[in-house]
Amino acid sequence: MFIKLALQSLINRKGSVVMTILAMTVSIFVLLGVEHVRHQAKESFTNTVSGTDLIVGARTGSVNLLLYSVFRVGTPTNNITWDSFQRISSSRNVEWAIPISLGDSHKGYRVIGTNHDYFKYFSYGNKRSLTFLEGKPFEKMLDVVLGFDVATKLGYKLGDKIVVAHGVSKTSFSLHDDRPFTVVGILEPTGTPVDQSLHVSLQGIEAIHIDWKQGVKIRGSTLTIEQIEKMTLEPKTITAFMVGLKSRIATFRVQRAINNYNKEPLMAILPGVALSELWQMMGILENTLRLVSALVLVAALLGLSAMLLASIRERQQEIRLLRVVGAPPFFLFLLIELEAILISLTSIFLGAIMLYFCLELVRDLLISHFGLHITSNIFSNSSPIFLIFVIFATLLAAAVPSFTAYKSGK
Amino acid sequence: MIALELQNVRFCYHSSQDDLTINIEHWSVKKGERVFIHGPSGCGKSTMLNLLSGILPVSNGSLCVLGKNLEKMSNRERDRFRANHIGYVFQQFNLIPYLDAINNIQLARHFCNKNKHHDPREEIEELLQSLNIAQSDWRKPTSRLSVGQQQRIAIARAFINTPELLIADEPTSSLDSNNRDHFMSALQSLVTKHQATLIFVSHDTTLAKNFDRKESLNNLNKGSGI
Repeated sequence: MFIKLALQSLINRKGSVVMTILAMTVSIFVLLGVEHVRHQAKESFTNTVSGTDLIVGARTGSVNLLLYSVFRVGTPTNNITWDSFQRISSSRNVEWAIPISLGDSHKGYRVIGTNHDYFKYFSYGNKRSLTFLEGKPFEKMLDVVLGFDVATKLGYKLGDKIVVAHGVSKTSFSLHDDRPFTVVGILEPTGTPVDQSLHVSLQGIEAIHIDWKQGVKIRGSTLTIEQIEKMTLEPKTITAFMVGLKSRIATFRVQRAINNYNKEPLMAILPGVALSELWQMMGILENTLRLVSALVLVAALLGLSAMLLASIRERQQEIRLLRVVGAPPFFLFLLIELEAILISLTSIFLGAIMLYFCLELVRDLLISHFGLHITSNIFSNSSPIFLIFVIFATLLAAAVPSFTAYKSGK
Repeated sequence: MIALELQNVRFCYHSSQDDLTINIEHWSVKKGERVFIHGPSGCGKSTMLNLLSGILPVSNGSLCVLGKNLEKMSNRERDRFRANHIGYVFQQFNLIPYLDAINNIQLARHFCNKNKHHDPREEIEELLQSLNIAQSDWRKPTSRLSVGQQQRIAIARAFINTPELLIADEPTSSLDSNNRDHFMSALQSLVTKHQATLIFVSHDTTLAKNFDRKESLNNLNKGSGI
């Protein structure tokens, strides 16, 4: 009867109640959204690379190197020579090294030039290796292995031909259409930027650029694929490389040695340290967002309080009647609190649904523009804490009108 | 047997004892008696009924209702006592407008300790039928019913807990003569059936003929009224 009374009372005042629910829904959407995106972004970034001890690239900021080499966000400042890669990768402390060559794309998805070590040593999440959903690693010069999202979103299957565009923009007029790649493998989903990447051999990258100069194809070039296949296609430069060491104890020593490499200016970063730097930079933004979302919730709760307070004045007869049938003043207090909780729970429900659909809508955008893998599953370990926090804040906001009702019943 | 007994009952809304709203030296009502109380506006009728029902606590004196001293009870005990033993009908706003007749009556049962685990649906339906409320109106929000229907549902609500004392505060004031007669006869028959004591307040002294006793609150109350 208690819940029925509160529910019917809210339905009876549906105009003001709906507006309050809308305000609360938006505030919970913002609060939940900020928390979810923050949490997911951290998790997504942290899971993207694991088991890599160092990332080596041209001298730049450590965050920048991390972003373009691992998350495919931004552009590299410079390339590094193949010679440097070979020297460092063959040093006694290095167990493996994965070269990465960036600069081309296919329909907005980045193309990565690499070698077989990528499929052998690259790991993500909790040291999970890449596995194939279909096919196998590239073997021929113009073979391509697709990330899961590329294959599913663009509907590619094994054997399909893919033309790579010069540059990383979504619409490019410089296409390597005379040397299409053949899909030979599709990777299992990883929830990392690997899913949005096309993986080709370094020789493949060289092959499509062999008769190109300064971003355009040399006019009159008549090189055929067969002719190129006979050539020794060793890359002159690469964008960066990932390093796995034999012993972690040597990490700082190797890092120092690379940073002091005298053949060319190189930089070696520890992915974990660079990520911490990134979070430190993001910290202020994070806290600002949290503060703003908390203030939005406070504003909505004040609105709820004002609406309930106004309703008490309209409900004096109802309060009198409830008192006459034996309702104690504390019942009136609880009734108003329950009404507030019902509004709050409805808003949490609607806010969560709204967030789910919004995440579904902007998921691809977040991946392609920011490299963020945000799942639309908004429930996490912190969800019960969030729920308790909102309910507690609601109880607090409704305390004034509830107490007014209590006093009216006295 | 005495149903109501007031001994030097005093009540004032503010702390000043000079401004007494109610000041009754002695007044009593026998069990099963039907008392008609009249008096001009502001003589303290509603205040007195609020004291009798335990909504307001007396400032001084002894107020014994159905053998229980209300002045010795806590607020919570008075609320429970009222829910269990007293029925109340107002002039208007007797029902929660957005609830239907059945839920309005069930609400009164909710606060009563009697037959707590017994489903009151059958009793409610019997009461509504005996008060000539059409079945099609049982599930309508009471705000959509006529004033006459609302007052009859208010009687059903007041009687659902089989109260020993029924207080009616000008319940016929907003009814036309036809509805008033229907209301009075329904009320009287239920009071007889339940052998309840009835305290009926009204301006309309023509109704006094239906009662055992007629009292003027002006004569009873030495206070200033309100």
